[in-house]
Amino acid sequence: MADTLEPAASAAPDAETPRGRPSALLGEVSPDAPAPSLAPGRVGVVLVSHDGARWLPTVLDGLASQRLTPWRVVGVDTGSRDDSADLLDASPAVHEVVRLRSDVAYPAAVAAGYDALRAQGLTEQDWVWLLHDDSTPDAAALEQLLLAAGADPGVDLLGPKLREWPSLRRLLELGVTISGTGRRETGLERGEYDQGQHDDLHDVLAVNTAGLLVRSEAWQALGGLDERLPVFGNDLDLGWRAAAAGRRTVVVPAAVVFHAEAAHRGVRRTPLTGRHTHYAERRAALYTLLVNASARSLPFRVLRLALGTLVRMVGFLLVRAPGEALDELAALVAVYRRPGEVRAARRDRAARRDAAGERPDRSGDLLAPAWVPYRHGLDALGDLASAATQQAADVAERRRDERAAEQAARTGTGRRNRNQASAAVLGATDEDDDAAAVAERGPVARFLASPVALAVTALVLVALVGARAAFGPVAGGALAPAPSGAGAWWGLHLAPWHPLGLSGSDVPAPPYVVVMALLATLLLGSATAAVSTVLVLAVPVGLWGAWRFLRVAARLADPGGAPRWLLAAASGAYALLPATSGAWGQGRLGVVVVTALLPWLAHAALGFLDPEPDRRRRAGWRTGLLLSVCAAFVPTTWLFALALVVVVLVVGFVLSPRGMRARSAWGPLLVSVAVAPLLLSPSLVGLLLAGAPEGLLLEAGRPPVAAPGALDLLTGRVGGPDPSGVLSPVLTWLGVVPVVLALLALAVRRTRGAVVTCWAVALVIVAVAAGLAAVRVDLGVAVLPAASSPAVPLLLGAAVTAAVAGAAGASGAARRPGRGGVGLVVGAALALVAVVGAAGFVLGATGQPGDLAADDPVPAYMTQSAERADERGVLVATGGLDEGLSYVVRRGDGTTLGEAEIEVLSEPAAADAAVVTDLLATPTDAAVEALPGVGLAYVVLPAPADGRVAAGLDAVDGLVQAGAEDRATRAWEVTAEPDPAALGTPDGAWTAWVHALLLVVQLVALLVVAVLCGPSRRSTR
Amino acid sequence: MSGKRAAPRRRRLGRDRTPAAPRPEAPTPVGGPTPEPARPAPRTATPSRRGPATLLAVVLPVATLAAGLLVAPDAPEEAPAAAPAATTLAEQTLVCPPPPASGAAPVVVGREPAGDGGAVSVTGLGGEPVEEDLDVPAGGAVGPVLVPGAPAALSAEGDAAAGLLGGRFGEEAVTGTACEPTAADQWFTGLSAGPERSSVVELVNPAAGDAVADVTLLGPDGPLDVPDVEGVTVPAGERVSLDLGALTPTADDLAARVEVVRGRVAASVLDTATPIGGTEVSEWLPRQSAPATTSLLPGLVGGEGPRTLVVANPGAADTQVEVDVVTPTGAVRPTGVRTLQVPAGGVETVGLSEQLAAQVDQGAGGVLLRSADPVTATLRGEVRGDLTYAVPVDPATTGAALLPAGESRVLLTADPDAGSPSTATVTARDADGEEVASEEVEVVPGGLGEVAVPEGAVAVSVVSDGEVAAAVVVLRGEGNVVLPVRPAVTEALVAQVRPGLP
Repeated sequence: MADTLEPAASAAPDAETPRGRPSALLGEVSPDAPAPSLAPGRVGVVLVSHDGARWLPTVLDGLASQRLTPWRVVGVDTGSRDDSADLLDASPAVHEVVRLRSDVAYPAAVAAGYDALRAQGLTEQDWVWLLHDDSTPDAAALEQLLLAAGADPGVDLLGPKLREWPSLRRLLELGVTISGTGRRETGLERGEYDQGQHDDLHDVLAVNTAGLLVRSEAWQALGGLDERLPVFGNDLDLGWRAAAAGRRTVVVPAAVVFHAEAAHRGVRRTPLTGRHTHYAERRAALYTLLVNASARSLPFRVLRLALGTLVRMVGFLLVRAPGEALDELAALVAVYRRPGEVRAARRDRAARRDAAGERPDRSGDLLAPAWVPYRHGLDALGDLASAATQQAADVAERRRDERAAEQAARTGTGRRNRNQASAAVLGATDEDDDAAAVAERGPVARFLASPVALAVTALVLVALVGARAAFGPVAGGALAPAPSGAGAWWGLHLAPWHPLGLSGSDVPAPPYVVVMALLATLLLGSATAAVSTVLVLAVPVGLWGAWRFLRVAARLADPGGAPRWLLAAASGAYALLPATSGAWGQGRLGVVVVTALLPWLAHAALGFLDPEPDRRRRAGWRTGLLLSVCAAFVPTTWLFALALVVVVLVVGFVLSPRGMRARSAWGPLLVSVAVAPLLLSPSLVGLLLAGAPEGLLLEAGRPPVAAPGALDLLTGRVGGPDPSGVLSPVLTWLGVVPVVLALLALAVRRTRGAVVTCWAVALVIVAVAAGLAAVRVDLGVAVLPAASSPAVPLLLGAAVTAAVAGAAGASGAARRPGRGGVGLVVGAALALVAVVGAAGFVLGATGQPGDLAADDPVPAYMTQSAERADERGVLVATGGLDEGLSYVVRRGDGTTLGEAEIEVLSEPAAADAAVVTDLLATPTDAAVEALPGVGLAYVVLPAPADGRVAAGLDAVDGLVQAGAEDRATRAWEVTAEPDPAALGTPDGAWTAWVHALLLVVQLVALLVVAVLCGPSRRSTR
Repeated sequence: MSGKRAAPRRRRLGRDRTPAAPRPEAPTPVGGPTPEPARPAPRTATPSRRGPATLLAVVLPVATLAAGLLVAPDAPEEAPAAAPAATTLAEQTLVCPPPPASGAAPVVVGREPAGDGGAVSVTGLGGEPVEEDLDVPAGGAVGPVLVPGAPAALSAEGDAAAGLLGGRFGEEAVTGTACEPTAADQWFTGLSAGPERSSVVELVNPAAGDAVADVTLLGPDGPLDVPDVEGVTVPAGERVSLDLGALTPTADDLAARVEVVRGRVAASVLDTATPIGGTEVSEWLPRQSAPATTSLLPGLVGGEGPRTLVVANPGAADTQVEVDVVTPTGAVRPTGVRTLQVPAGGVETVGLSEQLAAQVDQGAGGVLLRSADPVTATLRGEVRGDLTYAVPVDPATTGAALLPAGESRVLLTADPDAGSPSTATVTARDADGEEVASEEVEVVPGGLGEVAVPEGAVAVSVVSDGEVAAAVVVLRGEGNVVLPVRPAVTEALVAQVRPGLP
């Protein structure tokens, strides 16, 4: 194991050579060089042990078998509870044992050993060799160290090459240095094998105290180890002080010591290290940096270390290691809290430096380069990114792995059977061979040669063309126009009170406003771009999600999975639901978003089936986060999810009580439904406090929106007007095809379980939809049905999944995957659905949102005036004398996306409503005088205006005719200026505090959930 | 496309980068077709799969479809339409048109029988009050009040506002019209713009603010484009006269629709006929109700002379109109009268002299029009050199009219589609509101009822249990005046106001 030492010539340093020239390589062969010689002086060994009985026997053997026997070995035991002290006593290699108390730190123990050596006559020319109780020297270690010392007399501290114990082959350290952030830099890769790549002698800042050979004179001059560093960091501090004093430290790779790093790895716990080795190490590093840094750089370092600690804390939190983050903070606090200590230490060092005389400070060159911390940061980011995007094996494969592993363990079949089984599997899917062969070509060639890829791309392009109406500002139907920027949405979300409607409203903003605000902020603050992005990308995102989900689901159902073209057809059939259901045409943003996100949600929910508990927990958080986003747009989605979770829990407990008893089995399910109320708490609690809980039963969009009835659920439509045009009968009944396929899939025995599961899900969904359909939401201004529209994408998803599972099972049973007749028929049917849906989308037969802007009865100058101040409202009264007048007050830039729900749920103050009623029903001068107090500047009767009502308004004083674009639209301006204090400021400041508190809760919860959703990373400890 | 990584991913299993639990380096050992039946059910391990799965495979779809039938949400509905509420009238203003050039026409102010009396003020054009605090008893009439050469505004406030009636009747000429309140939409059919007979449209603004009105003229082939009659501004308290003979000279019959865009305007039309060799005759063309599919035109007077029916179709589609005659026994289709074809936006004129002559002799009193789309109509009679106009009257249960001097009889008709005959009570009152005569008459659907009014009555009121359309025909000398009997305005309608959807 010892490295062969080639007889080498050492270049003896010239007398004129300044200290600082790097020493010659020990290994060059030169025939006429003199033989190497050992350095003069005796070697005294100090071996400090604390609870090291595990390793001591080997250490003592190593010490005993040294080729060069040391002069004297002093063992120092600091109160070990095991028999380390006895081992030291018993060992023939140890000449003397000093027993100390257990609270004696390492520096003091070494000092005691050194004193013992001095007492026995150690002189200044002698050497001291430090060993740990877990560091075994190689037989030639001491000899090589002395040879190197002899070859270069200017060196005062020498250290060996440290290799890992127990593997004995990996490199640990070849000298250490410290970076600007206090990180211990070895310059080696983690777990690097020793292949001789670092075998040259070189100067370093410091070497580990395990195996350090130091000249006694230097030791005395430097004052030994700093007592203020009890366990960690002594070596760096000593080395830095030595370099600052002009002394040289060299690492000798030819000398090998095997170090177990017991303290660092936490294997050895002492009262001094405590349980937090990370804290102790960090504290030592900060202390070392601060006491040894030059006076000029000290303020900069103080600041940099503080900021750096914060950054590292965030990094640890992101990888879900909060304990280490707290350790960082505690270390910073511990060091900064006692500046006196730092100052005293610096004074000591300064005094020693002055006493040492004029020697140049060598530390500058030996510290780690300044870019090292940033390189580590980039590496960490790269690790995080690659872990997040890496395609790890999906849950189906892991389950099969787990089952196969269990089976192998049970039956002990061994590798041969496994190989046979895997060969059978590999042979069963010849498509994989094709794919493997194809995979050797370039990506573009692969893309163009794959008909499935081309077809899916064509479908995506067609969907983008079909969504062309959304490439600019779009508003119509249930979709209100987008506000001027993301700031409006942020204001809407953050404010506890809004100047909307007749007298302002304390109803909170609907929960999807914050989602849209985040999206708009990412898109450089453009709200129009956010709405357009959602509408345009809904179909492609749904397609991608459906592909991912169906691939895993098919493999769960049948090991052979489903062929790619079937997946493509099924994904396409699902993804076009926003168009074919009519939601896109009606401008129902909520249903569109839920449809697009549902396959991602389902894919995350499949993680509940994972055999690893950690992945199940993450599945719970991910499902919860996606469900929260869906519930932000259509809150009743949460009810569907709750019903499904309850049913799954009940069925799980009934079918396998023992399996479900583990908390990691039912915990993630509960987490997934508990996250949504927390993340949506500002809207949830705000609605309850404002007395409008029925807002939770509405979906995003301007009311009125229709709910799907029985026939709508069967044909995959969300209610509302039917499609028009040539394709209309086909489009109306298109949604029946997946249902029929799902029914037929029940006939396939092989995958009946999976198909039955899909039907059970469908039953739960339909039951919840039936319950919601019976609920009527009475808003006063309208009576609306509860939003049961999430049932439509859920049912279609279940139907498509059942169809794909059935096709996969039929193909698998036929042993000819992809070419079985059933699969072909199913795929063709789904492809037809996708193609017809896409055609309808492009031709506009599925409906297009209208153009709200063109139908706006309020003239532009009134809108501009209203935008100047909140109290310059415009009263718009539609209807006539015979059917009654219904009024709306427009403030600001009108009712933009997110404001319609607030206005519908809020009731105007009774006094203000009475003023408006008086004005419109019996216009009198007194009624008009009250208008400025309510905050109205204009009155508009849109076309066709009832002449009798208009005549009444014409007759009163205080209203002046105002121009309108249309002759049939009547408009008046209130001559008196509106009162700036008209819109009442909200009374009850405690609701504002509650709202602010809930916003903070929401933000914190979002950050925590986002971190918990991150990919699994093993801790590097 | 993530799909093409499907196969290689399985093989890369052993080289998973996350340093997780060590994985076997061998490819995925999957239970293939041979060793075990591959079952996808997640956590269960029931021994026999056939039974429960098959049972569920039958039960679940049926249950799902059954549950689906229970899904029956209500359609979203906004707050329903609410009929206006009736409140007491705060004030009322009636506008009497300016008198014809041919002679004086004093104003008579009356009041409906129901309600209290009160003070009425009569104001001439230009705002000078002619009479203030004219006390008009309930059911009675006060007059004549001379407002020479100018339109008059009759206004009453408070309790005195309900049931106000007004009329302008010629002294020597046999002309007369009721004074009507301002309205947003006023229809006139049968205007002329030719050399022999031409109409003048008077727009009067009794309010304190300026008014703007749009006059739409319909001709035989469609709407006429006459810029001068669009957006006519009528200043406060003033009148604007539109002489159609000068603005759009044509020999055809026209129809006019006056829409008030701003303010308040009362429109009236005065037709003046100058037959060759005869004296000038004027008659007001009464304002008529909005277009309807069934029009009742009571007021067919006897005598020799041409009778012309003018029908206007303001809709967007051609329509057909059937003409019947109202007789005491019911509606009768006169021989020789064919179905009228009225083009969209156009006016159709048909002479009915011969066809109606025989009917009139047999006691016909009015004309009934039925059409597919709403139309307006006027029946013009030029009997013995006098001009009379009978216009459609909306059937109502009450009505009142002021009478000029002469022999009056009230003609009543009922909607032919009404289920049962109506019984109407016609009451005549004198100037003090005392009842002079009262008579009951039964009117069959589509039939005619006739009541003679004794001399000395200045006002007549009709009350019936079913809806009847009535008109008063007043004969004086050689001429007739036909005055529609309409309900007086006694209540103000207040719209129901509610918050709406944004």
